[in-house]
Amino acid sequence: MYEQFIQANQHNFEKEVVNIDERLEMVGNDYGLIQEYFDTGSGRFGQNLCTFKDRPGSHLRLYFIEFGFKTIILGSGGEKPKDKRTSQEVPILDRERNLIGLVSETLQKAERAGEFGINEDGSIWSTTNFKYDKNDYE
Amino acid sequence: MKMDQFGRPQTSNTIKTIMNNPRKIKSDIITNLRKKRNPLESQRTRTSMSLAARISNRLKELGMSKIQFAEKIGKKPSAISRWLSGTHNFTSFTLSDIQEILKINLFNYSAGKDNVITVSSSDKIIVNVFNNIEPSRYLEELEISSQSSAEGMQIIETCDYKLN
Repeated sequence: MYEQFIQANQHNFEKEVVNIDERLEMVGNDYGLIQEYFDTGSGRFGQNLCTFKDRPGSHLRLYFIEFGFKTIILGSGGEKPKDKRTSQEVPILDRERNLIGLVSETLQKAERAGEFGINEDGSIWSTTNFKYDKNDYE
Repeated sequence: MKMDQFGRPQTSNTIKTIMNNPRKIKSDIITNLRKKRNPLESQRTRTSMSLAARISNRLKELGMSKIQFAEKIGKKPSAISRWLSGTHNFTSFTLSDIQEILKINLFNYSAGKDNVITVSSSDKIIVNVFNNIEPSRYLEELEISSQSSAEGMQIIETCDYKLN
């Protein structure tokens, strides 16, 4: 999904996509999950969806799941026009947020069933092949 | 599925093997994107995120809430949230104010991973290898630098200097 986000947006917003990727890498390698970097509360209660806080002049929104205190699972996103107040008003964002929300619920269910989890070092493990079906995406 | 005595799923040997061997995936799309990075802009991003992280960590160390900090520095809490978002372009005046209130060193700090300085409890200081900067400069700045916390930062290489 993250790759799709890059491919879909790097043509129109190359600098911003590069910047988002850099920030993700810095969170992962250097600074950790500092709550203030993120806006939480996208999606339904319990889905733990986050986005980076908007930068001045930013156009893009990328959704991800905060899983535990060490791991984020990247989703996709898209352009959020400045004249739209909520992502529900933007079909692509609405779709991507719902999709990553579904992923979050699926992973939480798998975690409860002992089929998926987070290691001490923050890496993830799974005994199930979570398949991405393009039809789910449409 | 087998359950343990607390009714949780039992971890089988297969699962343990998977847990210990996480897969790493290499993506050409991400690799190609990273070739487009601009070093100056990368450093700006790192500086903003690093300053935010240091201020956030310092607030936690002091047990100070964002609202308390906002009151002390004479700003609205929303401004503090913006500072801590990792996207803010701080002015030198703002940094000076934060430095005074939180008793933290922000000016002498370069956000690069290779420019971290830590001070031990003994009379020796540990200085990592930095880019084109003389160790003596750090020695001059020791008094201020010693107040800053480098917790969680990586020391790439260390060497010892005696204090005069």
